[in-house]
Amino acid sequence: MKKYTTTIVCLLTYILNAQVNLVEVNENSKSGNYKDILTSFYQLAVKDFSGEEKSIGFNSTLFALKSKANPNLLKDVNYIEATFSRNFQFNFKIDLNKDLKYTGFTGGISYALINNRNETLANFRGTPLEAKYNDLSEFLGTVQATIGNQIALDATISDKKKEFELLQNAVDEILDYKSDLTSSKNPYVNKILKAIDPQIASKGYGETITNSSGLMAHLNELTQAYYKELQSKGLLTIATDGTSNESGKFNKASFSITYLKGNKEAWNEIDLRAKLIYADTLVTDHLPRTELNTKIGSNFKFGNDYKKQSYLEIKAVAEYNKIFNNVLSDEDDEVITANAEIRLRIADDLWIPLVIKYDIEKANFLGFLNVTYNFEGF
Amino acid sequence: MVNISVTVFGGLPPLPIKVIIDNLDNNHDIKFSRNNSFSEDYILPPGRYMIIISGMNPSGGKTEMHVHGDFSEGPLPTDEKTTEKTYYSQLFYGVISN
Repeated sequence: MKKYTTTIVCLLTYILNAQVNLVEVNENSKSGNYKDILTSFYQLAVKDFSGEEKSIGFNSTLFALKSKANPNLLKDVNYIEATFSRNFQFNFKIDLNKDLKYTGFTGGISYALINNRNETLANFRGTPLEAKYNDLSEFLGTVQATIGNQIALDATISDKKKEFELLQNAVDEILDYKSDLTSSKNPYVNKILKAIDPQIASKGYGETITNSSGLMAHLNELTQAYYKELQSKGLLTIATDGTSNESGKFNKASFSITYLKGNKEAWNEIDLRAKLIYADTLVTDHLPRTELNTKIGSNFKFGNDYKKQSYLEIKAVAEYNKIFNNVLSDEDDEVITANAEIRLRIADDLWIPLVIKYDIEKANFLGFLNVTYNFEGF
Repeated sequence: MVNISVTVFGGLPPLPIKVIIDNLDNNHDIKFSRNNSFSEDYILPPGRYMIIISGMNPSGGKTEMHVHGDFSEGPLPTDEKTTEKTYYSQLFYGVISN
């Protein structure tokens, strides 16, 4: 126990104390369900908090650790080459009993064979977004140069640097998009708007896009729609892990496959999972057995504003468990349950997933309270 | 000689990075776009220049821009800028003398 704890504490200390300014990835549009399968950076999870067998786990991608040590990996030219490490996740967890005594250690890896959801690799070339952005960029560029030239030639302006800063701030303000730019205190905002709004109106984009505010609102809507659509793409992962008991003896291994695919608006996704488990469950006798666990579910997100994380997710799941050999006398070799997995977000990236299972044959309810915390660095 | 360097962090730029080197004294402007980070040198004749770099950041990413060279004035308002904004259009004004 001591050596595992020391290892985990050392690793966490290294991660948390690293002074590298890690680029934050916009995680907001991802579902908690998705983050449980493939985290972008780090995830701490407490599983079955109220049950007999608890665990405290840590997930991270290989890329998260490598980029801590070498921030150059975050450069686009290196980032695109790091497919393997971005899709390779490792995890470990400490298993505890109801009295919080150590009962074992689990270590595992997973790899995303199909991962079309990565927003950081989004490509909007050839879309209406690019065409409209190009227009805006051209209008703005021309006006920036014209006004910049006036500033440069204006002998009455003594502090040119400050004036260019003011002009740049005006451009930033317009591109940041605020619903009412006309109330801006920056005089260059109105000057730019007067120059580009007629050009935007003449483009004939539509009734709602007759000025820069309308165009920026439209560009933001398009951007959000494209990112949202990405979250509906397929994600296929395979994973394997091994578990040892409190004396360090290997007693369990599993191989699993998971597939997620959302609808276009990304408020719902199909969730398919299968897990083959080999376990030596008894302490007194050697009694190895093989089990299959399959789940078919549908996850619903609530509060689906792209810029905000969902506050609630509910997954309806049909679960089938089959024990192939060495079935104990007081258990069934086949169990079918209807599950509801409820994820409640109580703070940014802090989720409390509650799993409720209903044994269809025995009419029993079971509940499992979990806590997951996704984080990107400190 | 003027060096223009743009480095994108945290993903790929969803749209090309566009650069305009606008010679304010004539129409000999240079326009180009790049799909990824770049660092390129340009030999520019004496004159007043407005260099505008525009683009879109990857989701949650950032872009660093540097404009360095044989300027007698500028670049103004700064010779380097880092932005995390979704869309950006950064200007650099500078004068190259004989």
